[in-house]
Amino acid sequence: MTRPTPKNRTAKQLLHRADGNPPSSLPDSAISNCYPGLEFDFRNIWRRIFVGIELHEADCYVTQVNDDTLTRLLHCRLLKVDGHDMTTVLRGPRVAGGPTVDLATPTNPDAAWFMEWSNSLSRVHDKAGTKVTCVFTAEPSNIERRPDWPHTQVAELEIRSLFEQGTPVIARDLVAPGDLTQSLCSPWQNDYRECACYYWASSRPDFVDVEAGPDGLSAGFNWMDRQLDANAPLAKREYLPDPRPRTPTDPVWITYDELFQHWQKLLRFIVGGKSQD
Amino acid sequence: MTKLTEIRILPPLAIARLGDAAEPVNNYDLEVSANHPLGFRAIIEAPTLVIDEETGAIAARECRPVTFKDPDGRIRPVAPFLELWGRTGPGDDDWRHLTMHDLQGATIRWRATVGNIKVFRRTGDVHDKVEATTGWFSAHARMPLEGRADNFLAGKHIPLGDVRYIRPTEQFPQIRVRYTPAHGYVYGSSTFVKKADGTYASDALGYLQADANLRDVVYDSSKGRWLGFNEPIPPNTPFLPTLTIPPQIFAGQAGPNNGDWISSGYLDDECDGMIEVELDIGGTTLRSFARLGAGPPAFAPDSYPIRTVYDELEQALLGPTVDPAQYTDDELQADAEEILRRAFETVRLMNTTIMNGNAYDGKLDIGSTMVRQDCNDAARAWETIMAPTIVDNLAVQSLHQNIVAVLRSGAPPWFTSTLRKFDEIGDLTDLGRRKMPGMMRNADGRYLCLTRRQYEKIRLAATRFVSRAATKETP
Amino acid sequence: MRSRFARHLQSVLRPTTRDKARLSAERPPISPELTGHQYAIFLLRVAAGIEHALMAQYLYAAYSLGGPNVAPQHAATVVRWQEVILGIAKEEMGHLITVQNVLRLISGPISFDREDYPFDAAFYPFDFMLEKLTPGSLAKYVYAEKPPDWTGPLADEITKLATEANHNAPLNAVSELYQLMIDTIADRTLVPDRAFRADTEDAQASWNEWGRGYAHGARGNAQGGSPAGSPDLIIRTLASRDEAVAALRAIAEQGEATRLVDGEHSHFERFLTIYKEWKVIGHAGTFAPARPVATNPVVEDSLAESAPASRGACTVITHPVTFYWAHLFNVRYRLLLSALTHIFESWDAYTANAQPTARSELITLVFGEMYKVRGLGSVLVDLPVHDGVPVEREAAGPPFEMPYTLSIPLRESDRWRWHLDMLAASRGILGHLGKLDTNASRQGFLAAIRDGDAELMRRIELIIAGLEKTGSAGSASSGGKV
Repeated sequence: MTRPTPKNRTAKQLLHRADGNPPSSLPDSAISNCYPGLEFDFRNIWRRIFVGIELHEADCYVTQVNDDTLTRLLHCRLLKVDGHDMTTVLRGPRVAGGPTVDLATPTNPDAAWFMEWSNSLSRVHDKAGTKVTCVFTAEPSNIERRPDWPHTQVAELEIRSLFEQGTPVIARDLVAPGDLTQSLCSPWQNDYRECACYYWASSRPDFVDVEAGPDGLSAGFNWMDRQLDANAPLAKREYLPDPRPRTPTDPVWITYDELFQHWQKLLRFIVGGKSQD
Repeated sequence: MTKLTEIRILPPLAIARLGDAAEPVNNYDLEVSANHPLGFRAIIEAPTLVIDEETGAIAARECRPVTFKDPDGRIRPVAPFLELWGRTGPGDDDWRHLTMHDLQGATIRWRATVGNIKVFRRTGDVHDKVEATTGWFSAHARMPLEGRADNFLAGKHIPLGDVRYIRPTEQFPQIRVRYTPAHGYVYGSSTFVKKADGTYASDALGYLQADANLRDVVYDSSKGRWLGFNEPIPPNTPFLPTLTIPPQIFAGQAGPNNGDWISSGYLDDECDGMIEVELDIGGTTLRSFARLGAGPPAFAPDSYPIRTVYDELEQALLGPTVDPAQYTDDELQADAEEILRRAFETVRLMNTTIMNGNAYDGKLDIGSTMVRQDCNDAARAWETIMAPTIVDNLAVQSLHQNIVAVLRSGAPPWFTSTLRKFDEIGDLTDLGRRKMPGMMRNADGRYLCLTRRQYEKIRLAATRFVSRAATKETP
Repeated sequence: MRSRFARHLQSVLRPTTRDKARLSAERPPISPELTGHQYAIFLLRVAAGIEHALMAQYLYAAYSLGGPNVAPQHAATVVRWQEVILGIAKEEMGHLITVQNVLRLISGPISFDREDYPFDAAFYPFDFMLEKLTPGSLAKYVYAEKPPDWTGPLADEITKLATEANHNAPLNAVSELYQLMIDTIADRTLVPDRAFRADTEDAQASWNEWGRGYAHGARGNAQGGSPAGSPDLIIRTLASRDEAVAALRAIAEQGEATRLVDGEHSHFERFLTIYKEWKVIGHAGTFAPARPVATNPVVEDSLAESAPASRGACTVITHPVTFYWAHLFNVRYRLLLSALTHIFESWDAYTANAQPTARSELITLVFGEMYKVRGLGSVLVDLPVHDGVPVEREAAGPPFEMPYTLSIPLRESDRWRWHLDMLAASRGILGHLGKLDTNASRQGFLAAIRDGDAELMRRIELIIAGLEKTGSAGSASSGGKV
């Protein structure tokens, strides 16, 4: 099945399926809620989105300045771009059922939180190639600041275009070889052991061989369970959560070392919800 | 010689997937079953290009059984082809896959360059960058990508795969290259296992322990700091803003101080980079490049993620608002259904009871969940996200299936406002946390949002319904 | 008169007592057969029926909106109206559920019943009528939700139009019933303290499980049609008289307030706003926001050729394909109601259990069926009523016909069998539709329903087997786990 694509040819080319390529070679099989990610840490495409500076892929910190006129921005925090807030405030109950308050903590006294670049900067999508007004903290800051932080400085920065002009390929000056995978786990097998399924269950499964039990409720295995078996009787299907603390050996869960050495044999493909041999 | 105004390598971003079986996975299509539209997508054999290892030409193009591991249990890699396309005229439809006939009298050369700079990202030492290039080539042999860093031991490299310019033939004259990724091995810095304090681990008899995790020792610890590198986080050290987020995601062990994380000096053979082409034709040189990357297998190949790299790219290309002229009503509806289907495919493989923060065997804080993250990051009260009684996996699946079913009826999406907007990630109230997608993490560490463009498609599908005529096929 | 209810409401309905001054000055007499406690329960059950009836009628009106008759320049407006009315309908669901909670609080039996055809309940706000949205029907909805002290030229205009639309039968404002109900429940001399059972709270519907995020406009207002802060479902669990009175007041205010309450507009305000907007566009003329859906569509048990084209005030669906879609709708509506009843009548299922149980299946079933009802409604408004009459002239609509009974069996496993019966009946209907309906998109919907139902039936069989094996298939009140 091919998903609908817009009539725009360049967009269609993004999903061009070369002859012989399976669907898992296409970018719509790669997750993009990267924290850090699986195939790529796609947050890295935004590091150099502003000419002259380099940002952290996962927050508003200016990690590098490449333009002498902008050294004042080094290690400061980006607050606004073209009038749009780059951070927001965390709010919620401190006590169960309690009132909603700003959720400040000692390490985050502003209760400020970064909004991921992809959606945040889509607000200036039509400004690529032009300069926009960017507001930064006046001083370097180790912590994220709220959008209304009062001590600021301003710079007019040009937004790079994400794509090479008129093409569907990500611009050369945005991403160098190695950039897209740099902030992923090293080795990636580590992540599989740690990755909780609240990320990407359809890429790195969590709950498998699921069947309905006598109460109509689900019974299945944890994907990391060495004994998972698509033919196991219902009574034997128990999802055992990640054991803490994680130890070098474990009777149930595949360990880090086992992953490093035998991930191909131990990790099962899940087709139709069922583990394959 | 064909007149070309432009060339392009397609796809512009190809994903390879690691595995050390000799044969890459055969090609397949994924299809939603007409009779079981709520079931799993069927894996249907599709034409596979079988490459003659010696000549580099396509020996056959045929459907073959689809298996994800070979008989020895090795995973079959995804080794994508990248095609050379050319524009032969001014029209938008004047693109085609170029063949050797188009290239008669022309010279073509390719170059792939990849990097694995994960260590550099942590240490900041440029000598830790692992890079590889094939150099420019025109032959049809496999061109290896040998990853080397200044801080490697002499003579050592990490194989990062290879690129092959497929030899065009009369039967298969099209121009293409193939990237075969590496095998998914782990490399390191020391033959013997070291403890966090830098001393060697030994067994009960005093023998040093060989590190069985490693395919090879490549890293020179006398030059570089990776083995034993500490990436500390508070409380015992101040917060370091340059760390990856999340931090401490490399193989290592706890150090002497609370918050230390001491690297075991491991590297892997993932990478990303580009493939470039230069074509000297008709007195000019045309150039293009595409990007590629090698990542882990997609372990549930019949299931798609909710938010994908394609969604990011489509939004970056076309913007967060949807031009209605780009889609027919049916296409919008189909796109909305596809998003829901992917939600359902993801939820199917999640233990939603645990992810909801429910107690397990009477114990709280079981498993890494967003509930824990909200506590850790923001000191938000510990509460389950949804009511603890309604989150069984099959119940949640059922709900999503009903939504997909109703969308098939042509009823417009009614759930637009259940969707979390990108600037609502700070809302950790009950209502905020219960928005959709549920229980999953966003790239900024809080709850998952669709791209704005995905959201808009759903919203637009809802509004388009109104003026839509009854489907003309009368019963 | 439907004697069972109406005989206890004579005092409210007799013209002399409809004088507002007298109503506020004296309490209407209560039948000697009823204690104050019984009277409160009685009024709550009447209220539940009215909320349910209003909800069905509002849903029908909302589903009627749209179609090729809507000119593109009006599309955004019509979408907004649809969203507003759907939001109001959802809030009625909240009212219905909270009223059940009050019933449970004072040990009254729950009720999901409502008036159906032939309609004969003079105490309802207006005669039950499933019809497309018109200025007349809007006027009825405005009147039904109006606050007691609304006067002025617009009020007169609405009253006149609503009365005409109601075939000159008397109209009632829901606020009157609610006021009577609130006064009764607040009255210590009528309903003693010990009638309020705080230990029932666990057996009431909670916001957490039922609210689905419809609070303060967080959901259901994507197009911005509803005022900010709406819809806001009022679903509260109650442990005391004060809480019950506060909840009922909140419900009443949500219906009828003329001023902003907590920054939100009442149903009355929202309906009135649509009415005014419609006036601006023009009542007569070419603006046609609704499809030509039938009024009070019904289906007979068979497509007998001699079936009349209308039965009283009802339109009998005779198109052979629409016939089955309408029956499918009725069966799923019935399944929804029976699952709701099952949940509410399972006492022990609620107690302090912080994990999924088979109840998850029931709650999900209810919401799944609500979604299906939406889908089926959307299919039906696009289908013809009679063979040979094009859908542009007359379209069908969701019949919302009440089942022959809302009672469910006593034993837990039998209750699940009850639901299974409805799924089996659906399967039969789906089979017919699979052969008769050649429309590709509807075929896709049918396949999806079949698929989902097969899964559901399998799971229910497992639940039944599990209940019968452990011997806990016993009565619902015996502590058997749901």
